[in-house]
Amino acid sequence: MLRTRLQPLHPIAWWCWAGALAVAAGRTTNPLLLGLILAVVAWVVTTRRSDGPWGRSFGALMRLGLVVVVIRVVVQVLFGDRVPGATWFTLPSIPLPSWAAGVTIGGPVTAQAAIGALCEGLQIAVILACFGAANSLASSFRLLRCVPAGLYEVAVAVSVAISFTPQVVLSIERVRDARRLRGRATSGLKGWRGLAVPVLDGALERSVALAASMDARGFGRRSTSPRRRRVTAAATLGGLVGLGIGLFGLLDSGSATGIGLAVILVGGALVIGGLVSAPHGLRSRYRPDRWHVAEWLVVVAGLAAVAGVVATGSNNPNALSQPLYPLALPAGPAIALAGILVATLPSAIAPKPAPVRAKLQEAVA
Amino acid sequence: MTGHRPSSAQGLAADTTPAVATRRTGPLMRTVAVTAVAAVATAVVAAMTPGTIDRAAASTARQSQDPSPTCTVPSHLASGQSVVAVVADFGGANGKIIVTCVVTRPGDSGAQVLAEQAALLGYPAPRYDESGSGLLCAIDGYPTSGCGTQLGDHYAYWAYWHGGKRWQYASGGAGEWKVSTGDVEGWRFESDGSATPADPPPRVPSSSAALEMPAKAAQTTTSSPPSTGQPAGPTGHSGNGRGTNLTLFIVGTALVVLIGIAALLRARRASDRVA
Repeated sequence: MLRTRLQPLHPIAWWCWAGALAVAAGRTTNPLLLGLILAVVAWVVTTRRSDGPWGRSFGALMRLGLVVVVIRVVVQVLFGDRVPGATWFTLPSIPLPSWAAGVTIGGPVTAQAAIGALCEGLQIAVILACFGAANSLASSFRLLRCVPAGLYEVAVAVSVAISFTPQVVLSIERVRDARRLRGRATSGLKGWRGLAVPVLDGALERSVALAASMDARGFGRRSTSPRRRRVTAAATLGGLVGLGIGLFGLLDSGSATGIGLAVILVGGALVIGGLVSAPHGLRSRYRPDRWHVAEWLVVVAGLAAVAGVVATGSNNPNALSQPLYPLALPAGPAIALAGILVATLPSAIAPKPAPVRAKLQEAVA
Repeated sequence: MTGHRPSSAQGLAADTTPAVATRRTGPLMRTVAVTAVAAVATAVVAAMTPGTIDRAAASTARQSQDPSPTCTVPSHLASGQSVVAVVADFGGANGKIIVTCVVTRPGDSGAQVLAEQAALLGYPAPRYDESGSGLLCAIDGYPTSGCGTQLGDHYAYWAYWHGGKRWQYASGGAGEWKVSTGDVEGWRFESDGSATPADPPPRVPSSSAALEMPAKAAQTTTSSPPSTGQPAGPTGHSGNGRGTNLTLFIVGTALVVLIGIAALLRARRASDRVA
């Protein structure tokens, strides 16, 4: 089956690509590698994002990432462990009783403490940016259509989880417009204060409404005995929880790999069981997304970044972190750099998204 | 498919005419593509050259047969300076035990004293946990990797002790501990420790009187046990490796800047078009 010219890339391919880059970012605190991942993600987003309103998710999550970095550094400087090293300046400190060992208020602030915190904050910010990129590049509504029938048992949670971020971005735009029309502040602290509550409220409400409208249509499944539905739902839900915990164990380099793998296997088996036993109604899809060569290439490009970082980690683990003792420039491990660079390829491989915005505005009007 | 807007938008999106969506390869895009290819080539060539991937030189801890090591106090101390004995017990049946007399200033922390000990002995600087928790990972590059590695219920870690009448397990980190005259700072590597005060203390006397010897006529500040012929600096970086690393760092930084600027320019151009 050939790709028609206007068919966008499969949303799951974009999510795999962005997820792979997030995994790569989660394995390193080297600011050079993190910076490259961020630049690569930004480049692909600017070349291939949809001009639909969810295309702005990337910018919104970049801003959130900046806030995370600032909070991480400020908390480290004010309350963090007093890390030894080259002292920059000393804050007035308040002695705490011995039962509060490990927590400090004020004290000497070292270069090592500040730079270490900066790199960790950057890591979280880059992972957030990857999440924003996935939301910008793939329409969450298309993604929702790919969810297998069995998962519809937990569909309210799934659809809220998938569509919440783009809904927040949509909401921000809508509330801003409303405030501008009423002559209220839309920027600065005052603007944000007026924005936060209606945005969060509106976004959640719309996500739930979307889920409810899907539920009302029965998610395209046939009716079956309630008992079987309950068993299927329990298996699927338990399996998903297992998958989540297992993935955490597998991705967190600090915990034992064996346990994570075992939990993933059990969770995966439960989910597959749930999906198989779920009633398969005959569903027709309107313009279904298909998986072509381009989708495979995009996924492989993302995996190349992970492979580069993991290979560097097994060869030379020190190159993956910012050296603190002594403070030095971060290493530039060639394999990791090359792997991350390969992840730019989707900006050429993926088909250009069709313009949505003009049509959407027409439809709204 | 009438209820909610998204699906109708989706349907409309797919209805756009082909003319709008024809691919356009801008000159900027072409430049960036060429640069990216060139950069990958450079990186691959750099990776081929030997010495890029530095393998940490394994520094093995030598053993000492000296039963009770001591250190020598320097004969001349400036006013305000004091001497602190630092004990580094590398653990194991035959692990080396090094005692060093370090000259300190008032208010020095345990971590500073340990860094000073490393400088005196020509060791690499003590390695601390990368997360910035202040946990000591390695003295003299030992162990070469890992930090408080957990093995089942047990940990392989450097235990921190304060000397005096007896060895006391430290309740805080070396960065927070302020040393004073006559203190003894003890470090023992516990290869199978429980990370509690029940772990064995350093295998030397705990009092400064037993560890510190007054200066004789012509002796140096420190006297580690005689046998330890240290491998000269287990830093493991050859000059060539460092040069390549710098090149790679510059290449990497240039890439980040280039791609970042390209993305910014493109984003700006796109927003201009919309406006």
